[in-house]
Amino acid sequence: MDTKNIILQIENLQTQFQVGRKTVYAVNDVSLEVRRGHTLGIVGESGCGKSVTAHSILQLLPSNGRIAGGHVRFAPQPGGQVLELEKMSRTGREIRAVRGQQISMVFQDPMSSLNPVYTIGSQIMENLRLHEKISRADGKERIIELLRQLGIPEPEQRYDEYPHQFSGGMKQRVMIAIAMICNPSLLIADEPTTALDVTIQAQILRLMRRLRSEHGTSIILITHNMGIVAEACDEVAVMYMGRVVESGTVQQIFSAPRHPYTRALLRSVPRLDMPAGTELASIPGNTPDASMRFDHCEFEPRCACACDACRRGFPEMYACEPGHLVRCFVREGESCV
Amino acid sequence: MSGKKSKNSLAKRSMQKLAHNKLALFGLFLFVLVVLSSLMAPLLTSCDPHYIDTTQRYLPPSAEHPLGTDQNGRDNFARLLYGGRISILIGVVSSLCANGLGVLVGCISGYGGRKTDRVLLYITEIFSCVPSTILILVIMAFAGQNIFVMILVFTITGWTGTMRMVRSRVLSLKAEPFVESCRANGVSSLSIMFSHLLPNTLGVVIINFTTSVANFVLNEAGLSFLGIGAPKGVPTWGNMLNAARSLNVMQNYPLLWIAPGVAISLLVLGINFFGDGLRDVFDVKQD
Repeated sequence: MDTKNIILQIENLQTQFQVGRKTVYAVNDVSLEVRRGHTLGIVGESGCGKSVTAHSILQLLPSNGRIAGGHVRFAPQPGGQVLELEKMSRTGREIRAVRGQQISMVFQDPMSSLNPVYTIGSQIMENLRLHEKISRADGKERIIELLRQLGIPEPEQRYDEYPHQFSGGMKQRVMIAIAMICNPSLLIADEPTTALDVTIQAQILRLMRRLRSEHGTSIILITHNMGIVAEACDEVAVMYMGRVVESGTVQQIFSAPRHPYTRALLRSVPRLDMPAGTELASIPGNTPDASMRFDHCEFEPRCACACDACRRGFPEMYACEPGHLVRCFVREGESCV
Repeated sequence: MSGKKSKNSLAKRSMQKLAHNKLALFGLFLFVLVVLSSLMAPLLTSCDPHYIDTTQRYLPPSAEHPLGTDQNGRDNFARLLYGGRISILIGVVSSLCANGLGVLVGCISGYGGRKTDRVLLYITEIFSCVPSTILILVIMAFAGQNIFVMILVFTITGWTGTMRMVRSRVLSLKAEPFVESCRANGVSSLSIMFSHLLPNTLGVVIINFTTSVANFVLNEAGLSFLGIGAPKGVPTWGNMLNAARSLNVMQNYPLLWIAPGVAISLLVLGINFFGDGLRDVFDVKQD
């Protein structure tokens, strides 16, 4: 693993859930790389396994979920040691030392992600003192400084306030403060702006971009919003049914999408230059049930350019240009919608 | 929200809410009155509650004996005050132990996995079937009559309600996103259970605590009245009622049973009013 440029490498990750007698194959085969100091966007429809992938990194799965195979390698320092996160016990000391300190997460719903009975200051302090030996006074100074950086007005007073006294956008800032207080090298943001309105979304995204440039934090941004990807990411991985179907730089994916699914996703984004009254393109059919096992390409039933090869087996990932990987039988030069 | 106004902390707001609740304040006043007067018993009376003087039996109220004397010539007022100490002690300590145990088991059961939960729930069910009167008879047969035995029995039979309540609160709180975010920050399960989930259940626990203090005081009185509670010589309200059981006392010396009866009623009433007030204070939806 190239620890100089890569901070996190996921290889052939498989995550399954046991629901009654059924096994749900949430993540089938995901391989990803997060470049140091970059933002990787993971996009896909609901239920495509993007959140599960993120939760698998820190082993934050519910008790009926397990990592069935693959590797998650994390290199906090360039040239330093490589931690194999998937091998750690899910409640053990090792993984808890990584959580919150080296890899932090920000969740979708800021409204209930804070404990209602504690002041926000003490909740940030908890994370800080859990991972670092620091006096309360020094810690408070640092927290107030971070809150100010994150654009919370009058941080000295807000420090002693309770979550119910904060608005949604402010709460998400506090969540980011909790995640950033230990200066993690990787921040996983699981749909951080979905519950917020558009202006606050833009503020939070701008904030995350600033944090990345000021602290050098690498970011995994999970979203279903192509606009956010274009705005905030360097690289993109498009997921479908627990697999990465296409990955590359934002430039590559947006200007020359290869996979029919990616193209369909991009077509379904409303644009300002669309003639008025045009119906928005949608992908026919639904995401199949994740407990189903396929013997051929999962997207074939919904794909506009499916051919015989697609019904016979799984396509392999191939590089159509350097850094741009596609999992599809339809190769360059072949005609497709 | 302006900086100044929002300085009001949750605790402060709760205090204000409580201050507006007249009934709760009255309850608190009754409770404090009864507790203080039994704690300050040596200041309020110079008589020894254990001093038997057979020449002074069944005396009517006088300056020396404000509530008269009982069948053994002991000062009724002193026995009432000192008896309050034991009764309240039994009530409060049993309630502390029972609720403490209930909270502990409830938290573990609610937050732990399905197997842990099931095992602990079965154990709770077993304990909640144990009849306290029979248990107390059995234990006393071996250990003798003793207030610690009473506290033990009240604890053993009294924790299951709290456990169930805390468990169900924790079960629903467990699904809250803040628990996941704690886990994502590397907080250990123990710390999530006791420093994050527990404070969120404290509202119901405190209310349960107050009502069970009242219950245990009543239970003590009931068991002692039957003669299987606190040891005979110890002045407790139940024992005083027990001593006043004979028809002669009942008819001719009503002060002997009215006094402890009223004391018990005042204490229980006070605690219940106060507990009701606390329930309103901790009910977030009532803002």
